[in-house]
Amino acid sequence: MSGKVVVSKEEVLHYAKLCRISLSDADVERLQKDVNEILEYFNTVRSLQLDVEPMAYVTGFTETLRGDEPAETLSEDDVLKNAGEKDEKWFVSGQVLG
Amino acid sequence: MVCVRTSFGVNSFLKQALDPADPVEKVYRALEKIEETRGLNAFITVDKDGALRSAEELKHKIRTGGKTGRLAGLLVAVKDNISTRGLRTTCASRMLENYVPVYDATVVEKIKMEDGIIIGKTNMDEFAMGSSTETSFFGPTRNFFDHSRVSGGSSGGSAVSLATGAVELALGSDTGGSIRNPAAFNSVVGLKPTYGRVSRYGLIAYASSLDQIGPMARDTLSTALLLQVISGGDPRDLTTSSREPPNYVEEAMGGARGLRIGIIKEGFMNIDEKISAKVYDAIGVLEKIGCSVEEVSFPFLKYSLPAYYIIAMAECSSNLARFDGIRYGGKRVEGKWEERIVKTRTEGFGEEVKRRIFLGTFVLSAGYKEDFYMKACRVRRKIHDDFKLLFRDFDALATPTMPVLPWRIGEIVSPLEMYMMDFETVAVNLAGLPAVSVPAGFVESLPVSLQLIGNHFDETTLLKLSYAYECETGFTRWLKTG
Repeated sequence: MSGKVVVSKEEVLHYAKLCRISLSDADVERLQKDVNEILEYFNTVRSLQLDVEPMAYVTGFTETLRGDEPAETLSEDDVLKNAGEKDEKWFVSGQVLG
Repeated sequence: MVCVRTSFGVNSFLKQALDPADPVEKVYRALEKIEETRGLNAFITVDKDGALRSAEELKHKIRTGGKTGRLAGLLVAVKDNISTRGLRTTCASRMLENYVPVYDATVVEKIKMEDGIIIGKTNMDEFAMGSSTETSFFGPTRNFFDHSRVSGGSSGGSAVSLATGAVELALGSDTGGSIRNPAAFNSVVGLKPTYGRVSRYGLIAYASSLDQIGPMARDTLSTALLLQVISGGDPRDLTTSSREPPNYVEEAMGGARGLRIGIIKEGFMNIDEKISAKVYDAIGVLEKIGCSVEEVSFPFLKYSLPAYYIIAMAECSSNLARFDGIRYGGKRVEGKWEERIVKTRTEGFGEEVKRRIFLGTFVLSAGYKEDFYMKACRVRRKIHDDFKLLFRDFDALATPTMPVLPWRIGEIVSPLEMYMMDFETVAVNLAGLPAVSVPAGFVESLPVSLQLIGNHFDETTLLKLSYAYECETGFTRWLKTG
């Protein structure tokens, strides 16, 4: 809880990898500086002691499911319209394993 | 009460009658206006053919005696993160530079159903992440009153397209102030509805628990009319409320006498005295017409900004994970699966978007989630509860919309400094409340606005106050006189 959170260069690279973003050396330096400045500001919240339940959504709506009825859906052509690369009726994503 | 003319005449929506001008002629005039003001960079895509086609269809409908909709002949600009079938929707990002949606957002369907004419897609901060429209891949939108300054953001293009007179209505989206901020910086009206009042189906998500689409216009009644059209439950967005929207246009004209306004003291601290003085003057006008006014304290408000950014970034990191270049974007990239994704995202996202994805990933990661994200969610609960307590005693709460005047393009370089500009607006989104930004005058020839915050689903009170104030001040004229 207490203590400052400071992100190292290695951590910048680690989290960037999780984000699937690659960074140049100059990017790493700039991002590290910005992120540490912003995290310091976020610390004002981190150090608060609050005895209330967290709120992720404001609406108190109960979860509703639509009826299990067939509904209109997009055509195959439409679904593939914005694909980076396609092969007839498939998205092409590049080799996943190996 | 003196009735102020709206930009297209009160009759057109009271009697649902068509604007007397030929819709096709009107589209041509608007296209000329857009061309004349192209330097302001309000539009990313102008849909000349689509707008002319809609206008022709409407003209035919009128000629053959068909029933026309509530927006018949009105020109609408749509923020470029709201899906329009067959019309490029970029989110002002290189990532979606060539993305053409295959379906309409619910709000777009509704506008079309009411015979509104969509003329184009407006510029914005990339993925709505910014407060000035400077992060757009397509370059910044310029302020209507001073072209060297920012338009505000992220719905900057929508606000400027209204200020220039190119359109009568515009859609924006508001996650932490993105409708109210540019409305304030260009002296137009912008309303962020209650969370769940308007369907988000077809809005390209930034932070789903905070995002809300809303209306913008030069005057209150037009804002009310657009809200009327886009409000309501939607089976495709299960966070929408099924409660029936009232007739906002009629309700807006109901008078503001007797309404109780609380002035949030903290909203006026540490800001330019000239700005506070203008906003106090505007509140004085409301007092004069019979509202009661009292100062209140909301000490916890100061935590809303860091809590907002933690939550918004967390949600953004999750929402933007879908942009892998495989399903959208339409650009062929070589390499294996992961290489393609990394390349697409590294080249496709701008700096601010990357920073937010990064920080969002960080605050949600094991070891930090409790300290940052969950803590921010607790702050959110407290802000929400404190607002609810205030609404026991007040019908609306008042602050300035923006703590500063529009800054020069490029003037703010620190990301944190930019985030601070949202100080007045973000608490509203955390609590899911409605709020409106109303023009309040000028300081050093630049616009200043009053923000009025309402209780959940009470957009009516905000519209009443805005309309009564508009009738007193005639603020729509300020776009011509400055």
